[in-house]
Amino acid sequence: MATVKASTTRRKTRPSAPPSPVLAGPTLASDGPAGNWRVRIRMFRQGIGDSFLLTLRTGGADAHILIDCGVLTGTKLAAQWTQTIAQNVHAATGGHVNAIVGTHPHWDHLSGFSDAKAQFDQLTTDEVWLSWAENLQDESARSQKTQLALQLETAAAAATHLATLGAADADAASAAGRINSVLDFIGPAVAGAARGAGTEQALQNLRQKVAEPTYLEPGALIRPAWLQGVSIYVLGPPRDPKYLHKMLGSVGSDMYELGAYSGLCAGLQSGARGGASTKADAAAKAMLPFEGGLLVKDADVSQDAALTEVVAMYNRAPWRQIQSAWLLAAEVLAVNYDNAINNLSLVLAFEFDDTKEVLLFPADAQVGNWQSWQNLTWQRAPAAGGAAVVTADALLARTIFYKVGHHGSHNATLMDHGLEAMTNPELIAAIPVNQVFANNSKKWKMPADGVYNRLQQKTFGRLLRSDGSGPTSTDANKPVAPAVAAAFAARVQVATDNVGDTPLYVDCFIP
Amino acid sequence: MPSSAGKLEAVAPLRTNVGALPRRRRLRGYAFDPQLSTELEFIGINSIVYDIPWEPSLAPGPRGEYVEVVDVDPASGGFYTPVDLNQVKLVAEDGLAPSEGNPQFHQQMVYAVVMTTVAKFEAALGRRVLWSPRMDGAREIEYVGALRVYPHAMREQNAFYDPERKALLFGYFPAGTTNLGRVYPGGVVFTCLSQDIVAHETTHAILDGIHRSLLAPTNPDVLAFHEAFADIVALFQHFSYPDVLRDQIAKARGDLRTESLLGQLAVQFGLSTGSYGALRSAIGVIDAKTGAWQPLKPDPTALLRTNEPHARGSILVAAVFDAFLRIYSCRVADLLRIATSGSGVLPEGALHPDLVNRLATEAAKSAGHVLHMCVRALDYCPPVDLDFGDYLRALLTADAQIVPNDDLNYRVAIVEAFRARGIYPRGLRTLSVDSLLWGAPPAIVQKHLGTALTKTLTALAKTYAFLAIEQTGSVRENTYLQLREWRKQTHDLLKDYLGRLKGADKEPLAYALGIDHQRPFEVRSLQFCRKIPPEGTTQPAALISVVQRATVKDDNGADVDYYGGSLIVFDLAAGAIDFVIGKNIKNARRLQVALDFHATLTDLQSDAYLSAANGMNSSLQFALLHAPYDE
Repeated sequence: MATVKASTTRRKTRPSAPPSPVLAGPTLASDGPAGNWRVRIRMFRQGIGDSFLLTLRTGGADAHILIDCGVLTGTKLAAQWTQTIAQNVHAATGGHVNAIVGTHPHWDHLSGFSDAKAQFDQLTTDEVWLSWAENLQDESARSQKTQLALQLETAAAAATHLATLGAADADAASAAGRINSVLDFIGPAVAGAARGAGTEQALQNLRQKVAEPTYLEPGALIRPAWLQGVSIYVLGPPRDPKYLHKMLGSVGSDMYELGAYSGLCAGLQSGARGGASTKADAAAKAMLPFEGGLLVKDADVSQDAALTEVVAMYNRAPWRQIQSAWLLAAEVLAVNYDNAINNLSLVLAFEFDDTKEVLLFPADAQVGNWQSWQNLTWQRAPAAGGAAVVTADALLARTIFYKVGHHGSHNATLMDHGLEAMTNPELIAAIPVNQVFANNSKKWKMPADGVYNRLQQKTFGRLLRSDGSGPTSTDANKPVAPAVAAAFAARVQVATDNVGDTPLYVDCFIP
Repeated sequence: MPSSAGKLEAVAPLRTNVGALPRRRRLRGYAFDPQLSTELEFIGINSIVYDIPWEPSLAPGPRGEYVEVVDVDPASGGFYTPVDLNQVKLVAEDGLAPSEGNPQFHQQMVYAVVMTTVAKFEAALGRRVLWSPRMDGAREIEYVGALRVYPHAMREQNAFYDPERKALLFGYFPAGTTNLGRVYPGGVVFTCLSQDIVAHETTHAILDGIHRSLLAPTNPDVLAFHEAFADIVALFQHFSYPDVLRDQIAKARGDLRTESLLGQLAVQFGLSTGSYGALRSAIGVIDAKTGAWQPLKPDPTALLRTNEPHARGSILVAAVFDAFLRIYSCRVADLLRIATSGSGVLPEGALHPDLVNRLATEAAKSAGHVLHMCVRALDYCPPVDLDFGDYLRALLTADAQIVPNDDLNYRVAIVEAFRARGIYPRGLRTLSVDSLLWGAPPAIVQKHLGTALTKTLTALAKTYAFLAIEQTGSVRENTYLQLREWRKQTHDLLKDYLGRLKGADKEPLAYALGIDHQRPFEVRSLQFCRKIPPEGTTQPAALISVVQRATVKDDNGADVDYYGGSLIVFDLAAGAIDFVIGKNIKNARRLQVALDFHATLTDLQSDAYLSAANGMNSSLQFALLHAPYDE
């Protein structure tokens, strides 16, 4: 229920953190520390957005896997970034990768497959990996997509309506701005097209790179023929919808089911607001709280003297009016929608047969996705040796490289059965983020302090950021131990070519 | 004859025949919410008549002195015709019959519950309820006579008090599918038809009018207190409906510690949003797996584990409710002995109706006393940075002021119930009732300000007493304007005095008032009230709250507001200062708590999106904060 609206806790904008001190060592030969690495993880530095090129040297020919290629709407030189990334991937792989992974349908993970389509057309791939949720032949994926599309449509329509009211109502105007800002993850607003159309197109471009994409299920284990000595575990996204909407720990009520927003939806579709179809009108009527005839439309107010008085009073004090109040729920809806998409992230763990060390790529998985891994077990392939049954906790405990979820935001790195379970002292973490852009332009807390500080501790400073160049310490009192820093620096290498004035990528070599 | 006559002519005969207007208005409504009228077990008790003061100038809306209902439904794109409660038919028939499908009944219901809640506060506080004024930053710019009520404001599982619009906004939404069999999935649930929700939100508004600082959280207890207090008022309202009480006491066989409607809040809302029972319960919970009701056990460490306002608040609610149950048990012990010939074991089967009646009377009395104490305690709270421990001390002090000898041991019952939940103030040597009462005011305050305040306040109080008689127009508005002027005078008096004071007493005097003598302060509130003891004559009192704000930097260089000050309780009959209840601006520990709390707030909002809370509308922070939490 309800309560009082705490009006006084508006947070002051925090000055953005200064660029982290770079402790990186000498520049290495382009091939990295000679000979003694098994994986090169190339994190491109486009900003808020993911793109990782994994090169695995584990026997036979080098295997190349590209995980995502995208950058958030509004980033400077966005198209140039992804085009340059595509060219770099081409150059680094001889024009052929073994697999391209599209983790989830967010623009900051897929924009390149549209913006850099021409460049990617030059690149060939054996396989495209997507999650089951992107399989249009899958019934539950389809119904989920329909529901999510309705949420998106509602949130976007509410933003439009709020923007209209915003001419006279500052609260409404700023709410519209914030909703649109969240929706930027789903792709740029293009006049005349549905909000997510750009991302769907990018996804479609990716699908079309192969005859048949591979749709992966949680609990699956892959050992591709072109990759030796490595097992790939699929951890997410979960099939159980109850995990999909779990963002912040609370679950168990249907507060976030779409049903909770059906009133909002119907209100936005009503004929009076532009969506003039008969079907939409019927939906709007069905959501009216009372039988027909009891509602007095604005135009008919003057026919009732008592109501005229009430309405006159309502109009006399604009500061007390509530025309936009009902639309503000769309802000929660937009955030929930966006989080649900994040929870559909394809989560992969790469395990080396010999050392059993793990590289974890959870994309933008949020709480529910992480928690669902606890329901999974895998039977390790006989060829891989070792213990037969593998659990998520076991994979976490052996993780030596963690691609930090969702640009370091606070609800995309689980604590228990998450970061706290990553107990390997050699842990390295990498955050694709642009803190200045996130904090200043978007007013988002990326990376979140709590997560960031704990990552510093867990990795002993072996923490890479795409907006920094090497091991970092933001805590002057607890600098990275010099020996650790030097050893790590020897395994990190920054690109010599730039986009704008930013180096294209940072490489991390795993021995 | 009021000017906004409308259909008031219809009432005129009543007036001419009887020679005066009616004193009371009777309006039908739900005791709980529409859910219970669909269940055979409760249908008999769910429809009650609210008995509220007659407002002579009530216009269609209803729009009266305290509240104006505006039934706009922006999501549906229109208005609903306002109910005119002065129609002869409605006056004669106790208003409209309860109905979910009639928006005019909804208007009547919110009006009845808001007015009932207001009346409870006025009776307990001994003064008129004033809503918080319209503010521009820290400046009051407009008197707000009537609270706005929007019964169909939005399509959400939500209802809230909006301190900026001075309005209650109630949502409606389709019921979920979790409790098939008890709820009609997809059926529209109206939060404005829930007594509990309306009373809860009204209490937020009243509380904001009394203690504005409670909306500026400076420690984890502040917002939690707001929530808890609103729940307490809504809960104890259940005990003022005799039929409900008798029915539930008969079903519970006199033992209020078992499951009953009396200790539950917002049943329909809870069921429709997917909880397994009421939204909140003061004494027990339904186990989600087994569906069985279990009593809540007091946990003295629970407060340490949560900062979430509702969860924290529910601990305070449980403490107050437990105190009530202890008081009730003491009061009915003799009745039960008589009824059982001393064995204390009730016979099988239904209780004798006479016994039920007597038990119900005692329950109503105990509940009334506890609610009264809870409300009056507001006049003994420090003006800033309230915590649960302060509230405990305020409760006890308020009671000790009007009932000096506690022969029914109410105060011990309260201390016991609070202690069991780990609620106690810091820094006391012992946890006895005596040591918990606020102490005598520092001698230095009486020495310097005793005479000056006596002179000023006594003169003002005389004028105040005649405000209602001499002035035309709204008494409440005149009261507001007059008090605002006097606050300024009182501020100038204190400021001048401190300014002119020479020598060693200057700094200690300011310190005793909780402020720094070198910095500006404000007199945030000045109130005259009458404490009404159960026996003896009423005691006139004046309350002055002095507030000072300081701004400090947190670790990240961001500004954090931090407050100090005190409440001066002045006994007008004796011409002496009773209490100075302070929170010192120079208290380093409190400053640290404020900074720590600010940091947790920042963390709470540090979600990438949530932290858009930089500029995010406060209602969203609120909406996320108040999404139902599960245990």
